[in-house]
Amino acid sequence: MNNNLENNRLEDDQSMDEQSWNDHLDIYNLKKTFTVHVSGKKQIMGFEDISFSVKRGEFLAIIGGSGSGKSSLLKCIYRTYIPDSGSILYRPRPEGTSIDLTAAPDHTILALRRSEIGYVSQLLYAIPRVTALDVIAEPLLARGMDAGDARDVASTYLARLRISEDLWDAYPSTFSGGERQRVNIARALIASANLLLLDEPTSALDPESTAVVVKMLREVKGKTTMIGIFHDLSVVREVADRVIVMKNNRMVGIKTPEDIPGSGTVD
Amino acid sequence: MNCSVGEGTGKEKRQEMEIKKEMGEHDTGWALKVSDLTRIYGSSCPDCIEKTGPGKGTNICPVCGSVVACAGISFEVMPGEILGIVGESGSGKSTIVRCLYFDMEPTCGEAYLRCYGDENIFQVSSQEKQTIRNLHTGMVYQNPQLGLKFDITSGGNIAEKLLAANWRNVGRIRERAGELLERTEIPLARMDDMPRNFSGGMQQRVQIAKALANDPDVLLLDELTTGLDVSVQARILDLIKDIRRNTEAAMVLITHDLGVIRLLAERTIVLKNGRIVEAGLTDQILEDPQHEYTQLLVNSVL
Repeated sequence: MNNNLENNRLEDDQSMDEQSWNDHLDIYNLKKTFTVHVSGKKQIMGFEDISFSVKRGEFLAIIGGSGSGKSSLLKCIYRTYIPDSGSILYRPRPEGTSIDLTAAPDHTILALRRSEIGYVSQLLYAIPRVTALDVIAEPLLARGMDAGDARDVASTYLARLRISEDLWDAYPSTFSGGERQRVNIARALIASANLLLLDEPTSALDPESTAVVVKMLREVKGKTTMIGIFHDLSVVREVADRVIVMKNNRMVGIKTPEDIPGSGTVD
Repeated sequence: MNCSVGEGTGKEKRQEMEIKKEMGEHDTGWALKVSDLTRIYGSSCPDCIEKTGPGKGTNICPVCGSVVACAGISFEVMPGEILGIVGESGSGKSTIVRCLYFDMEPTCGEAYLRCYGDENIFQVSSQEKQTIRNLHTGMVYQNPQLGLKFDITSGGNIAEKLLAANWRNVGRIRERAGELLERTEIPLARMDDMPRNFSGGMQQRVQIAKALANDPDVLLLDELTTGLDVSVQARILDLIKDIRRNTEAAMVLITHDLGVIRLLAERTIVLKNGRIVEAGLTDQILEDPQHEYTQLLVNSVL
């Protein structure tokens, strides 16, 4: 009850509207450039002028040509990249306080990565000498689950994602691109993050595996907030609630999935 | 980690607590805190600090010729965390851990161990330093000759650390030494062999076993895989991962190898000419290096 009072007061003070209290993520005027010192401090534009909000449980797709800044944007949210300016407000709990991911201390970001924010990278860095099962079970172990149980859960994900059982005890560093990508997706989904960042999660998959991944994403939709980069527009139509279109390092529009063509790719 | 959960939904509550804990307590939850550690070799003059560093491209003072091995080094390490420190040879990496293990005295600066209390460990008596070393810290040197006595048995080397940590029962000491060697994959049959007869990789694993003997709160690792075959390196790095999983030791990992950092450290500090030029999450350091020197380092990977 005290909490409510506190919230109301804050709400008045900061005159924040109802809308943003329910947003899971608010991005304001984000800009990222890269300074390459070895090339005489050459500036490379990542993206600029990016502002949008994501509601809790919403699936936001990002489409746009290669080099338009999509991956850089996701990496800024995950803090793999440090943006030049702007803010990324992440609100762990509805109506709770928000954390600016651009400014939070490293330990806060690490804590969020462990319990809140997951990331499926475009190119999987395969941890050497760790089996596929253990790679996937790791987030569960980190939460104190028994090793045997964690491996059991991990194996159900591998089976669903159609990874041959022969490979479960093999090292993903020896896998094909598509197999690695599925290991990566399984690891992210098993952690049941509240915000999941997906960088072209289906780019290396055949149609059958893509369909499985789409199905799994639809299952967690509503519970997990997702921001995903896709090139395959038919996937976008199946999973997304809203679509951000990027071009020349800027946002050029927010659309509904119905507004974009049903198939084909952007580029 | 075990958070006691009151009423409310388990997962959400726990996550919230974890975040709060790490957010609010990152300035109090550390196991090791170092502030403003500086070590100067030589007479030193008032200009030493100002006239050296990455901006000047040297750590030798042009006025008095003193070497500023490191200056203004501050960081914190949480229990169970591995902090990586990278930099080229001579950047001052080893000086930091040598000061923390009392192998050398800093010129100035402070360091605190959570388990030891509010006292700057650089300022306590030499007897107290010995106690801290015996009970709370462990060190693995690049050169095993520094960490081990080569002409007493591997079991004896570990027993030495246990005796220093007030273990008195010979049977239990032997049992513990056996456990530690097993954990570091040294065949028990070699317990009574001398490290001088071991391969480099095995010597390093005996050093790790010894460093773990007192169940340290802080573990200092100085270039522990440098100079070893890659396959041997891999086993040692996996051993460190295993230690991270199974202990709460705060680890400081000194290396010039970015691959080692990528594999083990969640956060990384980059050192150049004795100063911190960049500190951040390891993936950020590797993928979006901000400082000129870090960019050079990252781009130099083969």
